[in-house]
Amino acid sequence: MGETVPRIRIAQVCKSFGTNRVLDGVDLEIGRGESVVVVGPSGIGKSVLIKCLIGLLEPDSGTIEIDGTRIAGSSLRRSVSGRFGMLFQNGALFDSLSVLENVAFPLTRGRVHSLAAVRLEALRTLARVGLGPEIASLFPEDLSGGMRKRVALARAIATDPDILLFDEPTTGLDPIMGALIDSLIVQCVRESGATALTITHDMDSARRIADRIAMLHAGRVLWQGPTSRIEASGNEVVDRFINGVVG
Amino acid sequence: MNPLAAIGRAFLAFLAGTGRLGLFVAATVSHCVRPPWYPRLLLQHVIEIGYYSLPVVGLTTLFSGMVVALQSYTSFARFSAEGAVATVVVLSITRELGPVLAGLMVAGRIGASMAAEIGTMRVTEQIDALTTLSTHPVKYLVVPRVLAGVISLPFLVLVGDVIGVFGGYIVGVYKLGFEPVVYLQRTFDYLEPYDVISGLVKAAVFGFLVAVMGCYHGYHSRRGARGVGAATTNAVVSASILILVANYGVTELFFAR
Ligand SMILES: Nc1ncnc2c1ncn2[C@@H]1O[C@H](COP(=O)(O)OP(=O)(O)OP(=O)(O)O)[C@@H](O)[C@H]1O
Ligand SMILES: [Mg+2]
Repeated sequence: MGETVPRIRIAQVCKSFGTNRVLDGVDLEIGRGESVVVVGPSGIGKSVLIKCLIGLLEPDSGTIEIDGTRIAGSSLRRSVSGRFGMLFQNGALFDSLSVLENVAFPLTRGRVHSLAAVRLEALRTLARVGLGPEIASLFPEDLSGGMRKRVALARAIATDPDILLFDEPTTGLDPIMGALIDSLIVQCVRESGATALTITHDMDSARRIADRIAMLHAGRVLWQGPTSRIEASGNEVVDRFINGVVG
Repeated sequence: MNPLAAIGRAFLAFLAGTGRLGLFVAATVSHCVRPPWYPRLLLQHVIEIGYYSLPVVGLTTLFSGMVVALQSYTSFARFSAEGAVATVVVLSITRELGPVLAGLMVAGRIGASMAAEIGTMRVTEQIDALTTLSTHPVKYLVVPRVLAGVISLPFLVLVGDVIGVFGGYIVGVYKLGFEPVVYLQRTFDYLEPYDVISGLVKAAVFGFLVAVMGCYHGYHSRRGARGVGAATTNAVVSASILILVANYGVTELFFAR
């Protein structure tokens, strides 16, 4: 094998909802142990892209490969889903389960929760996102929005998956907590060698997390490059986006 | 507006819905026989359906038994056949009223809550989250509920049968003046195991229908609070209608033998 195969390869992926063409030929490659951040205006299809990648939505056309194997069809995709850890934009915590059961879910896959080792592991994961054991027996509805987000993050990383997909991990968090989550993501990538794809609106956070930044615009990847080069992208739309210029 | 087009569209939508339901049932049945299973969840739902529905089903069958005794007494008095009251009560309760009323009550109580719970999980992406955590949502959410429905309803109906017969006994003895011993004797004289068993078979079928309709409508719920509301209504209405249709079907099947 001369060339290394990227962990994730997204090629010419298109997805429409009715007449609304959301993704129109997206190309993106993510190498092993790389952390890529996708930015782009609200409603441009970032969440749709991540859902196509994990198989919750079926792309209309295009290919998605994991480690060089094309995955198509939901059943095939399910076979690799154990390697993914996904944080949903709205958390998607199981509201009939306690915080501890939520975080332990990927460890037990919904079966017996009472094992001491599982409990310990879940508490350790909660500690990684800055939450103490005192909230373990609460239910998601008893938590603040930011705490919910962190519990969802803990659930996504509990099994140390190879591929991490984070949909706005720091939205709704205070700056200090945001920085903690950023460093946690960096730590996951550096220490366990995971591959991460993060969606964010926060450019400071993107600079901290990303090896590479890709900007989604009009259904395609408009610009991508190393984080250090985003200021000098030479692209007017990118400049306007990162500086928050209206118009 | 072309009326033919509207009819055609409605017909196609009906076919699509039937097909989706067929696939859903097929997936449910095939997941029933493949591990992993979730015995804890099954137990939880059996308790929820079988135990917590007891008051509702008990009250319904109690008053049904009482009213059947009263009605049959007034009708049968017209051709001096009052003696048949006990037999009429026990046969109508075990063969028809027990299973049908329990089925309808459980459709309202359990079918609605299943649709609302699963529908909310669909709308808040919890079902998607299950998939990403390598847990098949049909296996985890639907199979335990459907199995619990099939297991619990016969149990509920058996208890309901006893309470219904007891209701008839109360009216027969304290209002219509039957001798207690005679009434009980008449109750069991003409009762065959087959009568009770046919009712329990019906109950299992109704339990399956209620749980499948609740889960199906919740699972395919549209977005938003409105979608969940519609799913709940559809679950109860469709389960109730299917119960009455299946009731005729099963009865016909049993009588044909
Ligand atoms: N299930 C769906 N059915 C129909 N349209 C959808 C669906 N999911 C997303 N869309 C549409 O796709 C477009 C992109 O949505 P998406 O959630 O990916 O945006 P986003 O880039 O994640 O935005 P934000 O940053 O606000 O989260 C939107 O126009 C949305 O209306
Ligand atoms: Mg989004």
